[in-house]
Amino acid sequence: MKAKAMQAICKKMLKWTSAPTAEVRIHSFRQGLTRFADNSITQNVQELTDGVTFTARFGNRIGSASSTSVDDASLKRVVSEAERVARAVNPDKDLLPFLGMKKYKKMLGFVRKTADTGPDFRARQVGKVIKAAKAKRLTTAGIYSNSVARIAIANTAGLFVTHANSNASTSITMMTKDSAGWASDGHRDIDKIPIKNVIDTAIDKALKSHKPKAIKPGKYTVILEPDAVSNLLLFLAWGGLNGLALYEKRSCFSGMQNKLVVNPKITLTDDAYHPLQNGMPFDWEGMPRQAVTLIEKGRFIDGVYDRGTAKKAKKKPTGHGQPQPNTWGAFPGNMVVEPGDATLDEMIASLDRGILVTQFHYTNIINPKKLDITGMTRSGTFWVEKGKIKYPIKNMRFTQGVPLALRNVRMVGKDLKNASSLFGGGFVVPPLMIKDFTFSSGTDF
Amino acid sequence: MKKLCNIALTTAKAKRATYADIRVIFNTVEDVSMKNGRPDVSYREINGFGVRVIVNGAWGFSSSSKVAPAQVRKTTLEAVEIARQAAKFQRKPIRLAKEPTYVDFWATPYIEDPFDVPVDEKLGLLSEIDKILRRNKKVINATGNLHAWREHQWMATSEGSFIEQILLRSGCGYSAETSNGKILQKRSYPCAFGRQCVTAGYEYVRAAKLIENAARTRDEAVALLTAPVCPSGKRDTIIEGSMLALQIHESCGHPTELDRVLGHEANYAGRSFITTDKPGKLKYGSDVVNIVADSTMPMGLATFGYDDDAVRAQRYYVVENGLYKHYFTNRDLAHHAGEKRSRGCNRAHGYSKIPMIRMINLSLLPGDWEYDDLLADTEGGLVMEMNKSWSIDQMRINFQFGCEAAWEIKNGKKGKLYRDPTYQGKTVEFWNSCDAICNNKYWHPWGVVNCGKGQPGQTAEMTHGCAPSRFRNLQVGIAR
Ligand SMILES: [Zn+2]
Repeated sequence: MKAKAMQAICKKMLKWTSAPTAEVRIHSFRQGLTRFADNSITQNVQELTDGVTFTARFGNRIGSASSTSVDDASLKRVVSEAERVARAVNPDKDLLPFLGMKKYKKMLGFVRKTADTGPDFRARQVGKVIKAAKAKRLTTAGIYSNSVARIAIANTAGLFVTHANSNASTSITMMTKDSAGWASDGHRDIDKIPIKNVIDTAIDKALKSHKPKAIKPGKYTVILEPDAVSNLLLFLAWGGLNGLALYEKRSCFSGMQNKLVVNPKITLTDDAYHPLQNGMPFDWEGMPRQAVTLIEKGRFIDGVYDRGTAKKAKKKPTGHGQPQPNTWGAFPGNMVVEPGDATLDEMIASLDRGILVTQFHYTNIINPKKLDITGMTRSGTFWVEKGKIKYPIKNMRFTQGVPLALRNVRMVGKDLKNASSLFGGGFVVPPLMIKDFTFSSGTDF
Repeated sequence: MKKLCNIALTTAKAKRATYADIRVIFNTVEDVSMKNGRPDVSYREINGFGVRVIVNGAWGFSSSSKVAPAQVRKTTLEAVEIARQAAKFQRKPIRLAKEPTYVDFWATPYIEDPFDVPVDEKLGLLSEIDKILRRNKKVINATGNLHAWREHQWMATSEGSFIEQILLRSGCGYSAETSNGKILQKRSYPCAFGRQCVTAGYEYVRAAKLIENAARTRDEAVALLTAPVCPSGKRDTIIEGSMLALQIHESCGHPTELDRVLGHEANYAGRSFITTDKPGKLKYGSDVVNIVADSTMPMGLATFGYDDDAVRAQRYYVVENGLYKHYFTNRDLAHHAGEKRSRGCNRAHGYSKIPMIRMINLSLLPGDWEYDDLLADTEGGLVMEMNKSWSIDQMRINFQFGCEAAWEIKNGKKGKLYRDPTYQGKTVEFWNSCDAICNNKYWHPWGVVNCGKGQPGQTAEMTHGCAPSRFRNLQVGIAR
């Protein structure tokens, strides 16, 4: 859906409502994705979803309704359902007035070619992956995807903001009988995906992982590649840096402001405007999204705040909020770790004994306050000795506190990647070398 | 609706599709939630259709939220083009296992439509629970949710099936989160992660004893703050259904999905240690372990008349007397398991996603133990309840679970309370260490509502029935 069509829907709905104040949020999403496995395309799909959410407000009573149908009859039904709900709820004294127009920074989010790419181009790219796998007698599985998402928010306080993002991504696993190697990349510009590099990296890791040896669980120095780092940060984002978690003293950083909480080599910001990020210039309340310093040279500065929590905590909202009534708080979804000065190869060369980790799998929180998490290594885990990769090792389970791991950082890499994990993310991070990382058990492969 | 569906089928046929189907779905969801007295109510309609075709031996799928004749035609043509592109890199043409065609209507039985219960009545119930939970100052967050979900779907296939189904779900749940500034604890009811869901009407919520359990839930959450950490070591452990359900899900359900076995999830959710040479040979568990797949079971979240391949719902053993038997399959992959008919496990997340193999309801059959006898027989052991954290490797061998609470077993009763219990093990060893399962009085269906799989990501729901069971010499407390 184009921005003009969204604006027209917003105008109509705000006119139809009998609620004194109201807000409309519209999203339109199109994705094409080609999935392959066993050296063959297995799923080739496209999705087109429009949706509208209407929030009606009578004083301190608020209610929302939404639909993926955007014809007039459906839109009218959505308005009246939202009003029905708003009339039924008890008043919520924590609600804030809807926000009017603010000044927003310009942000590059959308590349036409990424949005317009069809299944023929994706098939050609996947063809390259399958051909490369067959040439090395490997089995491959993965995806090539392109998507475009547009959102718009409008309300009776005069707000109308819209933003479009495009995204292309590939993720490739290469397998021998007893090993796997994985690599991925993503960018808003489909032409900036170095498919050959991704293929080569996955192949290299798969071949090097052949005949893995088991090693004993215990504490080891690790070099985590960006995808593994991103995975750890995902838990820090929700449990540590969400302003509501800080305010409710659930965060591992509650009461630690301006204190050294991690290694001084670590500086962490949330910066949607970073060239490798793919965020939006406002949040779901319409607040301009700010670049926020979360941790500076190891010192905890502050988290991110929605308007409601900011008011209670006597902070400034940072533009990371969800729609009201928001009980989840704010999420730093565009985190960036400041790079160091070593390449990944230099980091490996400087490691005397330790483990190189490509990726983590199925991580989860064990202790929400200390932010202890557990998960498995996956698709490329290697023993490093005297600066060289010696041999592949069988996958292991780690059980480790995230703040503690960041305290034990020894080196920060210089090459940044926008990396996500099985359960989300999309953070711009370098590889990290971490001392005393705890592996608690092993598995059979 | 038949007319609309026919547009897809005739358009696909004209473009030489050898198979086509369309699913039109009108989905309505109502969530009534409360956190610390603040209401949050949302009403959602998720409407759309998805078209699936086989052209040149390959699948193509396209979906749209715009349910209108012109869009159905356009989307079908897109699906055809997508299939043509896929065919270029398809090793073998798709083969669909035979299934009779059906013209049928199927609906979830219920007594009281949850959408007919007024929002203010639901908020009143949540408010009453909220007051009980927050009566202790140590409770920093009290959350509650009442959930209603209806899916009205029509499916038409080029083979002649036309199936209309109405699925209805109701859910409810709450939790109390406590803190003393240093430690964070939580107790939930009836289960963790927001709510317990079933296919039924609001009668389920009325019978769930929500008010009756609120004070206990709060008090246990507070007591956990001063409870010692669960000890580490090897212990005989009774795992309650509220934890065991997820154990069944992760360590039996996922590795049983045939697409995982064949490597289709190798890049994402992962593969399976139960390779195609294992059915009929692998001693998956001890002799008392019987695990049944069943999309016909009352109240199951994966209970339906027909799956998204238009295959009729079925019930069969996955594990019988400890022996591993059968996978979850669909029409296009069943032959890889040497089977002639699909077991009816092809399911999609709404209209917008392509169906794929999903576990259906999967339950551990009850044994013959009385709960009190089992406690008395497990002196010095532990009881663990309600899942809090889960993690398992991509082959589904090494797992580690955390629970909300544990108790020592002393003098044949639940004794001292422990916080932060975890246990860790390997799937086959674990199920072979099971030597006692409680009887059907203690057997409950537990819903899983957040099962993720596939790229693009899809969420599915299913139910795992089980009763408290004992596992010998379990490695507990490894997280320390
Ligand atoms: Zn699952």
